[in-house]
Amino acid sequence: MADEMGTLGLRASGVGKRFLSKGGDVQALEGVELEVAQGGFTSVIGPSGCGKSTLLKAFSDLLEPSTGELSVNGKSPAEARAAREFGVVFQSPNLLPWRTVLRNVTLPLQVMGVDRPTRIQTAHEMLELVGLASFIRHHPWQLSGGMQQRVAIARALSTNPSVLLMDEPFGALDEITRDRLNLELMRIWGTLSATILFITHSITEAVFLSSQVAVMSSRPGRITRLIEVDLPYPRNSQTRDMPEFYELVIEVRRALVEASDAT
Amino acid sequence: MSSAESGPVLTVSDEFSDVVSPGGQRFWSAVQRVLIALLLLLIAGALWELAKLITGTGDRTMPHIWHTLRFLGSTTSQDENYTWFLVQNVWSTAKASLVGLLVGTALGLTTGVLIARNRLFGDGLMPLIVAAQAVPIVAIAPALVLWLGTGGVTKMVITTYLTFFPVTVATARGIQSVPQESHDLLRTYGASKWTSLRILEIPFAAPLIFVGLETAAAFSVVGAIVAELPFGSNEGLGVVILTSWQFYIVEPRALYCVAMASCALGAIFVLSVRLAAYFALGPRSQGEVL
Repeated sequence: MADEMGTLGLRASGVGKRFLSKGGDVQALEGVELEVAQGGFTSVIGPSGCGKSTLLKAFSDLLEPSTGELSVNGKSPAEARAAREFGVVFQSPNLLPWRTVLRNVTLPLQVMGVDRPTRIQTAHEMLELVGLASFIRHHPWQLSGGMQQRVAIARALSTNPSVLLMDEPFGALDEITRDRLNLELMRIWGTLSATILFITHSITEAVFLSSQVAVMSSRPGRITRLIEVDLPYPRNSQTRDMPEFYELVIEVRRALVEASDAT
Repeated sequence: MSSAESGPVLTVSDEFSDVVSPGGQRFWSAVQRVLIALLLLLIAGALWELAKLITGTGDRTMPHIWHTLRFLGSTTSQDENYTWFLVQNVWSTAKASLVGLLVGTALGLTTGVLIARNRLFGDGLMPLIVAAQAVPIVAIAPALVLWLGTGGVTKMVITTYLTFFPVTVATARGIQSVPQESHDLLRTYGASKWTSLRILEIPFAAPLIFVGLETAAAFSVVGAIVAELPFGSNEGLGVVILTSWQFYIVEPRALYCVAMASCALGAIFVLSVRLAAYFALGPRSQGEVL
């Protein structure tokens, strides 16, 4: 995608995070270096508890790193949050059950004080984009898990962020639904020009979606390898049948094994 | 683009499952519940009569239900219809209960939010609230009457005191159980504490708050009646209970009538809260008013 020189979409340099706990301190992250170009799609993959969600939380200004620096579009996470530079998609859809689909999507704009007609129109557009235009009046509990996560994506897009931080958004879904939503995400990303940081523990998902895969080891959580995925965009279901796709899947798997052997 | 596979409408419809129950079904289940309630009432009456028959208890201790009901049509010493006399006293108690319930709810919501928001404050205050609640209201009611007189103020203070607790606990617990992810979500949009309270915490806690309110509604009626019991009060169900008690030897049916009136008032209060919950919570109330 648009790979402009200049400010990076996301940047982490020397990021470490230590959690204090009763059973001894936990070094969740150590010396994490990561650069994502504006408009780039980077996946972070690693075993459970390797600190990949911690990294995303640090980017989204939900926790302070103990050491190092992070930037989003050249700004600090706190500044970027204030400037609504990024949207977050959480592990669970995290929808408010008493609100309809439409009003879940208008939520961020409501918090920001956008007037009612504008936020409803924006929500309609976003729900159209994720293919849920006919479900605006439903409540979250009337939707399947995959649909709920799509509402969450629409909500994250409603503020028109240039960066999307996604924390294992499809982790709880079955593989068929996940594949389908991966295609959806590729389509949506094709129409926007957002920078995406995508946390996952699925190798095929990481390879299929991203232009760069960051492999993480656990305890301490650090990025052990960066793998460039030079499969052509736009990607579709044929991409998964390409031999290069399989080679890359194998490469990421080996990198993961090496990462876990090293510790 | 591969719009064929990712065509939105196609992928959506087969993922969708409808769980809404049609309105007609709701109506009939409500009618059913009313019928069951009436049936249970009839059974309770039958058991009363059966117990009276088996034990051979006299009319002075256990009057026949139909005799008691007939008493509602009798005339008081002030030449007033007895039912009308009861209604006036129910109204007096209801006013005190309602004021106490409203004040107690307002205080309870505020305290509940403060407890949930401030851990230190909450940990310190919660045991005090629980301890204060354990003080038997019947024991301090006479003292309150001495301090504040027999008027509406005493009634209000006692009902407020009783309704405050369940609302406080329900609000605090409800807000404390908001998932961290939801807090994170609002934080990423820079929501202020007030916005987060309005948009997330209160709506999330609402079902639990209504449970607390239901308990509070029942307590408020009991509280008002207890406040009327000490001598010196001149109207309300508590006063009627006390006089009916004194004249029980002469006319036992009066006490049973005022007991029924108290039950009815309590039921009206609780059902009103449930009705409010039904409208406020929408689909989350599951349509259960009764």
